[in-house]
Amino acid sequence: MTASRFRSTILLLTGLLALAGCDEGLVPSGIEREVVVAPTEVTLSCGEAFQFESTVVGIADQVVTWSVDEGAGWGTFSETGLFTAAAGFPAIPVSGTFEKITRAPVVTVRATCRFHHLVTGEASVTFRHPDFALLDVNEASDTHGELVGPHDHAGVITGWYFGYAST
Amino acid sequence: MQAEINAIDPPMPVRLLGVNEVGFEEDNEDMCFQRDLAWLQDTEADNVWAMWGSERWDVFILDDEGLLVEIYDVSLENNQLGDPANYNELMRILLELAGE
Repeated sequence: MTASRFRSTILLLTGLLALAGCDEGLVPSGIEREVVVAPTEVTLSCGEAFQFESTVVGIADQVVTWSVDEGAGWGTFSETGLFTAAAGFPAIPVSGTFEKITRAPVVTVRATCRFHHLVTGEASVTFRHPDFALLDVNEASDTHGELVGPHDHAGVITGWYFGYAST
Repeated sequence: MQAEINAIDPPMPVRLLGVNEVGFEEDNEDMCFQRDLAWLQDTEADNVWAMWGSERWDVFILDDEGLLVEIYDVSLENNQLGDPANYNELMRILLELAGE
């Protein structure tokens, strides 16, 4: 190989590596690049905080940005992956009204490699229904006079009837 | 229904509760008459009806982890519980979740 051809080859390789992001920490090892998020599934209550962890594979730079595919209305992330679920479910507009949530909502949280936006990893968050504490006004009930809510019923199947007597 | 479920004694306990809408407090006496279910009074501050997106006659069924499994509408137009088929269907849903 002549000196000029060698220089051309080096310049070409340098350009290609820059395009590939090597200057931001690419490990040219042939390893598939991905972000591994742990854990991959979690169940949270509204307002609850949870720490996700990420590992960037195939790229030296480990910094990721965190987001929620369905929108920030479901919760917010710190730079370090601490997710804080929203205090309640966001209203989801559909055809001039709002979508009624009829199953436990599941959203996707995503970690995206800082310099490679196509390199991502994800996990799912399932939301418990929003908690509350209301006064039991039925004198014949076991819990009369107490504040009662979903948090009192871990391990119990519950049916919450919404009604009143007036026609 | 609660008494029937208790008599069956499913592997997991089942509890039925009611939530009265804000502004209908005068109905509480009627709703509680000869009933021993927990009857909870919503407040403007809590606004549980809005928070849960509930409508009158909805039964929100939550599993043992507090996850919403289904909303069973027992309105007169749909699955009113005076019809034995609807009553039995709601019982079936609850008991199945309870592992019966």
